Amino acid sequence: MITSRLTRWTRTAAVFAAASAFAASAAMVAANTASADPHNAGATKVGVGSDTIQDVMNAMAGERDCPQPNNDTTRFYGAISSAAFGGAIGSFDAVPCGSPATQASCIRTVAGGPVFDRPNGSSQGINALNAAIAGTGYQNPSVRCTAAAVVIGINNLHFARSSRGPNDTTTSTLSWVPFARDGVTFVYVTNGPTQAEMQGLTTANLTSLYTNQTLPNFGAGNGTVYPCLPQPGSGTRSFYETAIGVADGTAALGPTAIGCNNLEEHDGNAFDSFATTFLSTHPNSAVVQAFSAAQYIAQSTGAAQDRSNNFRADGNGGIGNPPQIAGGPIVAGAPNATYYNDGTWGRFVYNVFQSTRIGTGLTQDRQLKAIFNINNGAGAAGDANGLCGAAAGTTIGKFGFLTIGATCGTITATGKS
Amino acid sequence: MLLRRKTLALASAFACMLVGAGVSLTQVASAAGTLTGNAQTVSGTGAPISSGMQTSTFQVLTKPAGGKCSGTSASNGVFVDSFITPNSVDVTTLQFTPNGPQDPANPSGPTFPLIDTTGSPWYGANTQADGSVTVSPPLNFAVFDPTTLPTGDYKYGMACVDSNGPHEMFVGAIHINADLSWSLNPDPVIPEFPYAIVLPLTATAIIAGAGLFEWRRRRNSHATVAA
Repeated sequence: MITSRLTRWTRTAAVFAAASAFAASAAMVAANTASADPHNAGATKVGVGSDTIQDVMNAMAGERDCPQPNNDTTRFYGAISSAAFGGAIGSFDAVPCGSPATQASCIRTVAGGPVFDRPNGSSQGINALNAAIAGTGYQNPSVRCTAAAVVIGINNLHFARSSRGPNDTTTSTLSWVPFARDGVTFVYVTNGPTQAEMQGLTTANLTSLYTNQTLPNFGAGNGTVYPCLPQPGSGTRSFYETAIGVADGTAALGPTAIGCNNLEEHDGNAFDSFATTFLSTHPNSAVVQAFSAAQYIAQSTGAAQDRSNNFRADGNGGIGNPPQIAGGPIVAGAPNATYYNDGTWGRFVYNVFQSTRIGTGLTQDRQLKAIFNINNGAGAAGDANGLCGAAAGTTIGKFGFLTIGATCGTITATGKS
Repeated sequence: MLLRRKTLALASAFACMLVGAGVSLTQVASAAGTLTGNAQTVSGTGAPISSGMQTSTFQVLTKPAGGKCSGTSASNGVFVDSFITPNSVDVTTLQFTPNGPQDPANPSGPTFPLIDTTGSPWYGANTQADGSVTVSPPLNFAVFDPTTLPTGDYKYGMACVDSNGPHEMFVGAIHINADLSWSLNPDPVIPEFPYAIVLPLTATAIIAGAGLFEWRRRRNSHATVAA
């Protein structure tokens, strides 16, 4: 009898424990789904992807960025929309606000839609968009909260943020539409080479560094420079490797060897933390990491979530100038137009769309085109409330990017991914 | 007693297998849609409307209301795609591509998604949590012109679509005039599910299955007694 009661009690306890675990995991999913994502219930067009432009696109969605202290309500921006067709955008961060990139996070972009892994970075955003178009499943390849790939649905994802152009042009399924210009550079922390020496690091030096895994005998003190890279799938990583002319597989060897091949991009604090630890056992050395100049500015001014305050306060770090353009990428806290327009180190930043949705056929999405001022002759190309309007241009400037005039809203490239 | 229970259990399993086979057959056959019900047009207040001008706003829902897909967007990758296609087209053959619905026999023909008043195609919409087809957003024919949507009779409606193609389809009939004004035609006839055939066949199969197991049980029992 006692045994029977014990067995029953054990079963009851097991069922209760299972139920509790289920409830806890459900609550965790709910919590992960809710953080730092669009609050605008009127969002009709939603996007995911690039870390580099997540903050400026949050502003375009009418959001303030990652929650500011003391319930600061001064950082809300005017949401882009269409005077002719209405609507608004919702933009989901690459990484949930305040969470590490290693934390699994799921999102639901439209009411009634599926819950799927949050795409982190340009390539993952583009992959998710392709899956939504094709009706196939999407799952984050590295950090996931789903048990299997999830079909997103073509109307639950309308654009992907991208800080790079197409990598694969075998089809024209997708169209890249730029809205601003950025400069890419590197940041560094050193305990050997001087600040001036690090700022004198050239494109050729970087090519050698990422090709050969280290750059030995650098500077007057014969220091050694080590490379890091943002997470795979990052548009900044892809662009940086193109700028220095080193293939991803080769460029990853050095960072992999020292354990910094996947530092979340533009997280200056994560880089500083790694560099401080690494340099504590590597005297007369320095570590470099790719970085967006616009992100550097926006984080410094507080326009974007500041993920680099520890890095800036380090005293042993700084921002590089690989093309050796006078003044570097940032002059007096503002973009250096010469640098941003450099053919190698300057870049457009884009939103990427299904080509037929922004084409001229009857299946075009006029509201989508109007909000993003996609000016291929139809829709409301001149919509002043859109992404290329004057008000949006002011916001673009606050986030450290340069406006690009009539190029904004023009389809500059098509591709598959 | 134990054997009888086993027999019943096996009969139940057999019946379940039959039902399961039916479901599987439905899914395999889903490359073509199934006419499940009609569609209706209503005003913003939900009142049925049967005609309008090019820019008159209307909404579309299933008729009767509450029509369901066999899955949901949240869990099964099932989404609702709208269409308008010439009356001569067998809507069950429509293909629902990422670029909109298409008549495979005439890919460049006037087959389109319905378009809402913001100029966005009503396409890839989420079902409700129970699989119900969501009422359309406000629609009109403002973006069409007589060359893209020539005067004539059309079918319109929505399909529940997943990666295998369309499943349930809800269809109405409409006449488009040269000025893009429109009026409804009588609802297309939806073939009823042949319960009169399927139910007796299923029942017969279940009874036969149970009889088979009972016969085997008795034969085994006699063999045991004889031994």
